[in-house]
This record gives sequence, C-alpha cells and structure tokens, in this order.
Amino acid sequence: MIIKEIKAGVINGDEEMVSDLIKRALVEGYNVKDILHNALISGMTEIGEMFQKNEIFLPEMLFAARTMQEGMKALGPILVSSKVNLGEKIILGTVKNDVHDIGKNLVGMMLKGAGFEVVDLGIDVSPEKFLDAIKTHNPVLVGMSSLLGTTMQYMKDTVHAIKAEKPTSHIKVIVGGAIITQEFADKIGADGFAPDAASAVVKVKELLGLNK
Amino acid sequence: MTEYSGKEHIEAAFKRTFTDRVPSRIWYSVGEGGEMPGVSRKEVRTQGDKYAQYILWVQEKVCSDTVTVAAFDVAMISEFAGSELGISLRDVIDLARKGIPLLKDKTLFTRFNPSDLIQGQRLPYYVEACNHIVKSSKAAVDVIVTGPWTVATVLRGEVDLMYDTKDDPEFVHKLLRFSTEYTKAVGLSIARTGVDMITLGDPSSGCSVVSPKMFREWSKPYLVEAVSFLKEYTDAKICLHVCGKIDEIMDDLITTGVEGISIDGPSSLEKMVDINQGRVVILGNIPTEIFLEGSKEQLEQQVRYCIDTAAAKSGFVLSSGCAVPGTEENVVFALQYAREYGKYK
Repeated sequence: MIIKEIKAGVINGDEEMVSDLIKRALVEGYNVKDILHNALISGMTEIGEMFQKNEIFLPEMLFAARTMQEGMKALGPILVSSKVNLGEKIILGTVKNDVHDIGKNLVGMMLKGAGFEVVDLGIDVSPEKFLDAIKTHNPVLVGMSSLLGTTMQYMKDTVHAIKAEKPTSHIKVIVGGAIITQEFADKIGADGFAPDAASAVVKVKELLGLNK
Repeated sequence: MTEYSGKEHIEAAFKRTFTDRVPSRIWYSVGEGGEMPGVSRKEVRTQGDKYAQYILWVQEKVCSDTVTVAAFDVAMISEFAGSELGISLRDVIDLARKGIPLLKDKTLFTRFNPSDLIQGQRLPYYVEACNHIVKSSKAAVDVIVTGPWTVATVLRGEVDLMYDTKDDPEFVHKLLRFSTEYTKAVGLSIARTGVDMITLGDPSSGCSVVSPKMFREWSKPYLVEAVSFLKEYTDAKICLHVCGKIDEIMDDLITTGVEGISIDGPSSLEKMVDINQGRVVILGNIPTEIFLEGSKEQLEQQVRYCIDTAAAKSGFVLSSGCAVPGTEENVVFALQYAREYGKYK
C-alpha cells in the first residue's frame, strides 16, 4: 500500500508527502530496492508514458522528477550502504552557443531515475569539451541537446568530432531538442534521437542493449 | 506589370488584399549572413550603424520581403537587470550565465533598476540600427523583442521559474511584472523608429516548454498586457512568435490581441489555419533544419505545402519557422522558388 502511495506522490509531484512516506516505509522495514524500483522509478516510468501520450506536459514531468530526487535523497544513505547499482555512465550537455537546458536536465533526471550514472556538462558545451569529458569519464553514451536553429550546426560538429576516430567513435550518441528530428539525427550520424525525455530513456536502453 | 516592394507585399497580407504573389520572408539574422567586406563582426555586434549596414547587405543578397532585426538579446536583459555588459557573442552567452544566478538569491531582485536599460548600451544600439534600416529598406522591417515569460526565464532559469510557480507564486508575479515592463520599454523605443512590425519572441512560452495551463495562468496575461500597450502607443503591427509546438494553445495565442502569429516548424500550419479563421496573419512555417541539412527538393516541397495550405485567402506570409541556421544558398533558393510558385493565378 505504502509503495503505491509513494508512486502516486511521485506522479503528482508531491515532494513532502513522498519524503514522509519513504521515511515511514523505511521504519516499517520496507526493502530499499522495492521502494526505489516499484515506487520511485515505476512512478517516473508511468509519468513518462503519460508524457508520451500527450496527457501531461514538461512542468508535470519536472515536478515529478524533482519529487523523485527528493525521494532518492530520503533513501540516500541507505541506498549507498545497500550497494544498489546505479549502472552505466552517461554524459549529457547542451551544445555550443546554446544556453537552453530544460529538456537536457529532464533527460538527466529521467536517466538517473532509470538507474544510470549521469555526468551533466551543462550548457554551451563545445565539441572539445565533450571530447575532454569523454576522456575523463569514459561513458558508454553521450547525449546532447539543441533548442535553437542556429546551434544545430554545433550538434553536427560535436557528433562528427566524437564519431571521427578512435578512441571515441564507438561511443553511442543520442540527440534531442525541440527542433531536432530523426531525419536530422540520421544525417549528422547520431546513433539515436528521442523527441522527449521519456523516449530518451527507452532509446538509451535500446542503444545499449538493455531493453528486455 | 507593377513592381511591388517587400513592404507592400507584407502590408497586403495584413490588409487581407493581394499583390502579385504570396509574401515571403526568411529570418536570416546576424551571424548567418557571412562576413561583410570592410566591417568586422565586433563592429556589427556593437555599433548600430554597422549592424544596419550588415542587415541591409544581407537583405540585398537574399531579397526577403522583411528584414529581421533580432533584438532578442540576453545582454540587453542583463542590462535591464543591472548587470555588467559584454560585447562579443562569447560575452553575451557568459552574461546569460551570469544573469541567471543573479536570481538564485531572490532578494537581489530588489536591486534591479529599469532605467539601466535606457541608459545602457544595447537598446540604443538597436534603436540606432532600426533608424538606419527604416530609412533605407524597401522591405518591411520586423524587430524581434523578447516576451515577458522568456525574459523571466532568462533571469531566473526555465526550470527554477517553473518550480517557483508552485513554491513562490508571489515572486513569479513580481518578476513577470518587471519583465513585462522590459518588453513594453524595448518594444516602444524600437517601434518609435518607424519599424513595420514588432514581433514578441517568446520561445519559452510554447508547449515544448510549458503546459497549456501554465501558459494561460502565467504567460498569457502578461503577453496580453504588453500587446495591448504596444498596440495603443505604436503604429507597428504587433506579432508573436513562440518556438516549438503551439498546437494546444493556438487559440490562446490568437486571443492575446496580436495581429500576426509566426509559427515554428514543429507546429501544424493546417491546424493553425483552421483555428484562426482569418483573425490574425499567419507567418510560417518551413522547418529551419531543412535550410541546414535539407535538399533543394525538400525546400521546394515545404514552400509548396505552406503556400497550398495557408495562402488562398491572403493573411499569410510564407516564412521560415524560426531563425535559420542554414547556408545563404538555401535561403536564396527558397525565396526565389517561393516568389515563382507563390504567384497569384
């Protein structure tokens, strides 16, 4: 019952309620993995599906994602001591000369919610910065976004820089942003495209061969 | 045969009359038109007369029915908020970064002084540029001015502003009051130069960012106020551009009181025509990515689609969905093809 209530709290973006319920669940001896997967991640998955069906919009997703993060904080110390695997590492960034990050942040939250470790490079990230970060963090996948028509060319430059040669050419690249299309992604040589944050998680899993 | 100017083509769309062809324009702004001989990028970005020269030089090459002055300037917003001003694109982006943390601490908001805008560098730069362009241009002069919600997102950050609507609604209203004054002040100063159109650019107000509910509650009331003010005090046609998807709020946008709506590639032109029923001029919506990566055939196909869908009863301007990132060659090609295909029979 309490797991269902936490999940509903995530979907409704009710942080206070979710934090309180998680504390109560832990006192009552609920399993950390059960809370994480069947309440928090399951709640985000459901809201992601609602988003894909156009039943909700970005703000509702954001409030849910923030609630999930609060839930993760409430679980935090126990999550670490329980050694729940947070999964593969992914690098995210908004491309050069573009300062819009709402979609990229949401993708990051959703990926964290799905169990990935996310390194967020922020906004206005040049191809060189992406390459440097790849060397430092050794990710399995890079995601990048662009909102402006005038910065799409930098997305192309970045994808080309990553795919140009070893040791980075094997890394999967996924792109997105309000004006980015599958066709554009194909043309610039990205491995994947996602129209929204929920689809991004599905696409990332598909590219990494993690779908059931 | 009468030779119409770009301005006359655009005027016809607003009057719901006809010239000899469908009006057509591409947003092709500074930075995209190549290097102008004898004028440096720095001069273009910092001196109003040089910016005007540059805009007119690009216009000579592409022959659009409008020249677009993109006064969508985070540095100007930062000035309004009392920040230091940089000059290069690099600096402008840094200012955007610096501007957002200003309001991480909400109490800093009380230090903002709107007079910083009038005494600053950026607004006089655009006013000077518009004065020059208006005198020389045979095309309609369209100036993009940032709308209230987007100004607020630049200052506060998109995500934080959305959270604020739930956590601290009173602060959001205060900030939007402030940003509406920005839109009104910039719009009025620029309209007084005699430009033909003021387009309120509000990219963050679309359904790619906010929900219809959030738009109606937080963005629309302030947009309505800015539109009403600019219509009362200026002769320019007041238009609106919202990036990304607007299908769910098309009627809301029409009822802000604007005279034209520019729609972006991801939105449905067909739906807009259907909902609009001639109330506002529609400008749109060749997807911008086609100018960057598309073929000539795709450009032709999009021009035909837009004209066939929306141009039958006047009140339509064929346009790129948003600012174009592509090559000059594609811009020139699309406009040439539009002039040919768009001839009234």
